[in-house]
Amino acid sequence: MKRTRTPYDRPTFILTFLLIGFGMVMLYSASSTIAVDEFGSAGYFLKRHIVRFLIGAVLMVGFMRFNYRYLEKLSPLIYLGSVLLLLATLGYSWSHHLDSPARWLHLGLFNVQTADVAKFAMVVYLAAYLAHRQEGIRDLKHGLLPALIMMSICIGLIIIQPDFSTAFTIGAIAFILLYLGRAKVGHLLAVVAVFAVIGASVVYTSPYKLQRLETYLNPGADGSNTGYQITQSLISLGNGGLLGMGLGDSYEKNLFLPEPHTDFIFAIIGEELGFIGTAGILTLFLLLYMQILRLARSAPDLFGMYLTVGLGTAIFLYAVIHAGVVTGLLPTTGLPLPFISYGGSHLITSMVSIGVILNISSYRSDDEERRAWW
Amino acid sequence: MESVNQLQSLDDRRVTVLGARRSGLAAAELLQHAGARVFLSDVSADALTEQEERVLHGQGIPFETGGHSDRVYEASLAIVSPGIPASAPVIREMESRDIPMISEIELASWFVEDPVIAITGSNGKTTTSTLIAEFLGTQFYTPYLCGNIGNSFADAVNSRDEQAVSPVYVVEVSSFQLERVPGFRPDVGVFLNVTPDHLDRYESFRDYLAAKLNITVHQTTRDLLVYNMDDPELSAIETRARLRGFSLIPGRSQAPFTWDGTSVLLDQQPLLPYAECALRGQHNLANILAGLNAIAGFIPSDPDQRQEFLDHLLHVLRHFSGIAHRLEYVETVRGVAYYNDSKATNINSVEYAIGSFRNPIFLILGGYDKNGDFTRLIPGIKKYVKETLVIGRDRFKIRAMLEPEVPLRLMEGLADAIAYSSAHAATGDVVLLSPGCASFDQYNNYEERGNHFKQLVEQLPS
Repeated sequence: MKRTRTPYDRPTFILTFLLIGFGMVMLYSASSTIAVDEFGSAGYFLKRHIVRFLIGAVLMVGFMRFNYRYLEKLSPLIYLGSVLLLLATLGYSWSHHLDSPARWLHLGLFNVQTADVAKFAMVVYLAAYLAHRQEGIRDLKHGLLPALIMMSICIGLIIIQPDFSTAFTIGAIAFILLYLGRAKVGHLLAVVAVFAVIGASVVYTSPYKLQRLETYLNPGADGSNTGYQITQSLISLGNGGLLGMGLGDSYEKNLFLPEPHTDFIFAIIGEELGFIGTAGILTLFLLLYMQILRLARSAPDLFGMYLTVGLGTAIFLYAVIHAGVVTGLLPTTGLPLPFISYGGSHLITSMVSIGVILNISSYRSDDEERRAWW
Repeated sequence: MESVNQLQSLDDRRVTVLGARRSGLAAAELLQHAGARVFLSDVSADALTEQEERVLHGQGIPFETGGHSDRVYEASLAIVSPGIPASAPVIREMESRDIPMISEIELASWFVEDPVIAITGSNGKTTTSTLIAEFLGTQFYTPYLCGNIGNSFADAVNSRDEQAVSPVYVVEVSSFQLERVPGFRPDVGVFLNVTPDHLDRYESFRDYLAAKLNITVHQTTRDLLVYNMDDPELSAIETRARLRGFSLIPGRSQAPFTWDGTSVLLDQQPLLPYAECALRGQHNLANILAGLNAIAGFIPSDPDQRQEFLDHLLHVLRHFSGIAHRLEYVETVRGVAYYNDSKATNINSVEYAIGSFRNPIFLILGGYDKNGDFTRLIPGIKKYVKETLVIGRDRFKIRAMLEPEVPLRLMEGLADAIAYSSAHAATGDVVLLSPGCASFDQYNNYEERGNHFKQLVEQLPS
């Protein structure tokens, strides 16, 4: 089948780089104080961020040129590779008797957060599976169950790390894809119920999660760790008000708010640029997501469509959850703001995702408006 | 070669239509309306009736019959009738001059914005297409049944009613109509089955399958392909469309409409017991499932309208008993497929019938001749027919017209013809009753003749 190529989708490209560029400014502002405090150089985090951006840019261009249909063929290998990476992460952590969560695989020069790779792999695998099974997914035993088992292995390994929020996010993306792939709603609801029970028992058996949940319900009562974090975050946003205190003028970033450059960067944006800034950044994410969904509608095949939706949803969901945590709407959890937070693995996988989406966009067909008569 | 988009700009383009019969005429009219400079050409001297010639004159469409002049090459696009073989000199010359050639199906599809359901397969196309049109025939849709049956696709497009409610084109397409379709893209494709015994007509079975697969080649994720999961050749179909498989094996298919061994189900809920369906036989059950799954997306979502539509589906299933005696598939006995075309009482119908198969045919002709010109059948018989059996009162008259070009056997009646065919036909052959005559010499009407044929076939030892 010969297919004509069209140019890469420009709005997606522009929106991505607007977010990255804006992110660099905000990252520098948010991280400079702790960078001086910890490393004696205000540009410490920014420099490292730029290096990662460059690696991400090279990979992004690579994936823009790499025919995404090979990903479909490679999907079992990609899945297997990501599971091995997760196992290696756990093995490394256990063999070194580390107390901290087993989230990073230390590869000499840099550390990889393997759950980010697993998220990408899971989306690729599920997209290929759904495109291949089609209506077969409506069969519980031969369609949905094999997919759920593959999902559970991956998500289970991430829960053990423990990284409950990434596991939850991957699960949520998977369910959106399964729904889109026309799995039976009844089946999906039943599975959600099972997962909810498992999730609840995990929370209740894990003291730090339970504590976070209690803090979430009543942040003021817990003046120490998580309660302190979210209280400071809300103070940041309050400081910012409508128009903000001005770029670089955050008060909270001066060692009051922990993790200002990663899990709480959105609070610093709110403090410096106010509601206008946070609303602006969320608008950019929303526009990017809408554009990606539009691309999914005109994807040339089902694999491309599922892949576009899955990768795009991953980015959007992270942004929404990040903003939700910072504003206290969701329990505190450490999810980065895509393209903006400091954190190489996430920046690079997000840029790779955009690269893949742009590659798919170059094969798009013109039937966005065509009604489907399934 | 130009892309399909470029080809579609017809205004002031010089276009040749090769083959005037059936689809050619309608294609010429479509082109004329689109502003193209059309020229219609047919090798056969009597391709057009006087009435048709008058219509062409009236519309100012130049034409020639009785051979192709060099004028046919003064074009930048050609519409080729499916009856013209790829080896014909005119086709070779078109190729050497790089004149793009498309089929009438392709051309007509350019003029259609409304949904198109296309049905193909080796057997059951007509039944399934008719069934689909019947299903859609409600206040919600205006189905146009066309293609291989009766009106051509171009005809249907020409004669469409601009005021019609939600038109849907239901197009029956044979494998030859699916050649030269660089952009044909039905919203819903239906692929019923494919019989792997065409090797002596096609260069390979792959070629035959490839032509059929053109039904889905240009489909994308917005489109649907309904296919037969039980057909081993179709189980690994490659397409970019949404796939929806139907199956006669209970529990195998996850389509909206399924079969549990006794009833047709909708979303796993019994809709109608098979005992209440008017269409009989395994192959027809497959046709029903294909047809229902093809229109599943057309069921209105409003609860009241949905119920009304479903009630209509039930009514059709209870009353539609098929197109009997018109290229009606009867049964396959020891690898030989039997077709009842008893309704073919004139030469045109026989010509059409023998062109409908690419398998070797045992043709049963004859009966009460209505002064048909049987010599017109000679090219078709030479091309498609393995043995010609002539029965009935006027068999000697028919022999006089066909011999010596066509060797044939004379027989008393249908019983002898079927006995002879079943003894001599090889696996993959087709036995076709398409008499080209009225039935009054031996029967009261063509239905009685067709029923007798079916009865004789059913009595054959398997």
